[in-house]
Amino acid sequence: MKVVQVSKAGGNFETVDRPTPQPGRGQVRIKVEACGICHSDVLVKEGYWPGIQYPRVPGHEIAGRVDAVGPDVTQWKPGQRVGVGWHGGHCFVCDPCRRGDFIQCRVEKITAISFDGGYAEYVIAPAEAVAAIPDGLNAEDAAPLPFAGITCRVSEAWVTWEFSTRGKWDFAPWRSAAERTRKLWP
Amino acid sequence: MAIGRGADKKALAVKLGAHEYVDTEAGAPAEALQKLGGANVILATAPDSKSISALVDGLASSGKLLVIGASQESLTVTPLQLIGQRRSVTGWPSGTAKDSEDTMQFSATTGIRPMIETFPLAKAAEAYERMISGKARFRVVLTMN
Repeated sequence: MKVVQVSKAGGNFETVDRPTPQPGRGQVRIKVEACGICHSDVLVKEGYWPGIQYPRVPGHEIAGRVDAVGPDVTQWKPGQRVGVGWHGGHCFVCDPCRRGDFIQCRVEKITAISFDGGYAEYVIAPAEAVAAIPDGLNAEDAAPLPFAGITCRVSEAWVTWEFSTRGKWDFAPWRSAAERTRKLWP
Repeated sequence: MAIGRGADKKALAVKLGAHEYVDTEAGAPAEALQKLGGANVILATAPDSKSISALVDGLASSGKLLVIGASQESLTVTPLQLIGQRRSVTGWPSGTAKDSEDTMQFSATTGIRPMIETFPLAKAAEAYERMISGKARFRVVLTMN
């Protein structure tokens, strides 16, 4: 498969051929159709993220199709249209995960930092990091949404809600179970 | 309300639904925001800490500066800017796969789409430079086919 990688902090983009990887346990292989370029890709390109390993393929705004699944993956099947954003997986066993606050996982994986991203023909991602793309939304339009779209939409919704309740707590439909739980267990 | 650099962005901001446009090159943006009553929330998407810091005084009482443009540079804000008006500065870390699904469903349901410029994977370096230039309108997206 063709990938566009960076070999060192501050290095140029290189197009290289690599063997197409096989999905391991709990992993999904995605045939990438589109990948957004985010300003945060500078973290990979310039090596600003502490501890990042090279070579690394950037791209955390991925849209494509499930191409193969590894053992123990029950929720995804080849052919399904899916996306992957910045949040690249969680452990399910640390304290934030046990509270359902997966985005705060203490060993959170980050797409294109913990593993190779979407400037590539194929990506391997943990099954829990994968999101279904609805019909009627094409890959190019879907690609930016798991990161740029979600961050604006969810953060705005959060603040708007906080203002509307002026500090009172209630259940909002857009809140994840995680946040509800966190508020119930202050 | 939209805040941007330069008068040339006004027409697009209005087309996208902004009632007001504040041009940061036309004077102090914080003053312009205060003239309009002050902002309850400023969603700061630009990874430009200097420009973002200049907006703090544009927040209304209890206003929030919500920072999501990832930058290495320090924001500059004094305690006095925050205390009297009970203002706050906060961040937000994208979301889980389910949050992504909700966002994509929102896009599919409402017909709202991102504005993008596409480049083939083979032109990734050129596409990246386009993003860095700040001239892309708006998201640069690589396509694999």
